[in-house]
Amino acid sequence: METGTVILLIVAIYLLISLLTGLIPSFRITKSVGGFVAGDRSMNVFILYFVIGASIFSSFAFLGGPGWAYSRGAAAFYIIAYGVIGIVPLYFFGPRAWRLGKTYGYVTQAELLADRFDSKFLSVMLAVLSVVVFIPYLTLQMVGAGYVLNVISEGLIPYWAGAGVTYVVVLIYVYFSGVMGVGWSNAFQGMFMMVMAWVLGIYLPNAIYGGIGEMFTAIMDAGHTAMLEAPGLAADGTRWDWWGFSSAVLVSAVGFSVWPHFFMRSFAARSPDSLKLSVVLYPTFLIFLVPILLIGFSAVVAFPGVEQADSILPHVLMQLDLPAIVIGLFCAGALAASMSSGDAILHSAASIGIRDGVNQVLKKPLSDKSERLLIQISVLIIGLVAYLFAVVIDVSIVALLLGSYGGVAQIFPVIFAMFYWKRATKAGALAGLFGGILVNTFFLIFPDLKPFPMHEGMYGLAVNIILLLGVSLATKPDDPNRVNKFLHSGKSRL
Amino acid sequence: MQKNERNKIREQFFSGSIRPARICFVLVMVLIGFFLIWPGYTLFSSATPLVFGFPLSFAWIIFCTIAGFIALLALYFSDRKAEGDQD
Repeated sequence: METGTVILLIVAIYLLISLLTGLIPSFRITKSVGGFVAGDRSMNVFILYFVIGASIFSSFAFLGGPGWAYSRGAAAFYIIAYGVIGIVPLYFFGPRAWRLGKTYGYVTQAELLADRFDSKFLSVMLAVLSVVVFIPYLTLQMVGAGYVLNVISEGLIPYWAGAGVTYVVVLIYVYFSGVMGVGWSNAFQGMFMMVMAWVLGIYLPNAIYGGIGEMFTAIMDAGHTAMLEAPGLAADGTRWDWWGFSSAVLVSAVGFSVWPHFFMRSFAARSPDSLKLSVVLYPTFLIFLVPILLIGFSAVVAFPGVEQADSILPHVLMQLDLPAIVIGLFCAGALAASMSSGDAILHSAASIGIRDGVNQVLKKPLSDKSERLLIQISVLIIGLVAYLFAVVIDVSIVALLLGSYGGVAQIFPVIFAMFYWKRATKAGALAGLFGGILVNTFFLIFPDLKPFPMHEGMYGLAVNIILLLGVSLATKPDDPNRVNKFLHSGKSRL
Repeated sequence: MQKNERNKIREQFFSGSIRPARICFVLVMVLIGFFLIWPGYTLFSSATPLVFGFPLSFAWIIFCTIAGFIALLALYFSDRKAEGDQD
């Protein structure tokens, strides 16, 4: 059989299995908003583990990760470093959110905040912020899928068709099964991706250098020792500074647990215990980034001078003269990485946009049935908008994602205050959140004005916390009944 | 500061009491965090020696991830035990 046919066949089989695993749960969930958005709170540890793990490992990890290791060396370690601290808050926030959701019917992060701080405005603004961040994020996943299929098939599959076909599959299972479709397909995609990453990560250093130690020795012998010394290299190839590395780790860690699509999985858990256990097991998923980075390192000496670092993985695979079946499997692995984040983002953008945005500004609240239908229609619209961006504009895979991390991290202080600080007030929360976002965006646009070369999110967080504390203490305390509901959500019975 | 006074302040700012296991866990995670960024990480930032074939800087990050995993596991089991005692 011809190489192209084999690749196409493997990709087609992979897509079919993804579609089926994503569609099956549609027969089991109720036809309500709770069923679509939170899976009737029925996710077990197995599914939750993959949802939490896979939805964060995206095209960024599979393509951007090796790209960073290849061009910036030790700088790429930051991707592993922040995960292990970043997941911890979810261990504490998640069960609280779950109990409140179970008792009062919440299914999104903004609903919690809007209720605690008695502000519809907050809910609408978070909805707008989420959709604004999620559309480019989804676009990135589509770009990754289209790009990999195009390069690996040597142009056989046009970019627009690769992204299109992949995301039609995602649209179908998200439309019918909601979050449970995301969950089941992520379990399949996650396992597939892990196996592919380990196989490639161990195979490439062995095939090219004869082992992992030999590979790193070869990198040092070739005069690249500096790239293996933390904090690695900056984008321009000079040494990265500790300010940059440390603040990138901190901001990413702070923002990690409060990404709206990530946080809202707390509501889908079967019990607080299954949620806790999934969080505890998360670092085992992080270790999967080790082989991903090894793939990037394996190309440093063997394939120098690749301009577009993000394309290093397909580039290496094409040079090695591998059997068609391996290339086909890799293609499917890259699609799994893209889809397992894309589906979660798509689902969350639609759910948050309608429930926290549109529903709040309507005079008469929507019925459960129409709200669910509207969310499903938004899935299609948001998918289409992101696809149009993907085929029309040209974006770097990493830059956009990094830009959004500082903005998302600004949600953390208000979430913390919601659960743990009873003096936090509506005015304080609004001032902190929006002050933080403004400062973050300002330094994102004018990086030269930063006093120290730190991540812009750090400045945002400093202003955010000062405003949250200062304005809260200067204003009248919020209604104690409402405050206590959130404060005491740590107890097993509300 | 008297213990009562301290508890009062804690009550004013936070909900309820915090179990020692949780305080221990947070301290361990702060320590791990410290060793993952400046200045803690600078002690382990060099490329050599190779540890199981990995540069020291890389091996250190993997070690911290495993240490974080063990700390999370310990907290989880301590929480389960505490919940069991309550029932």
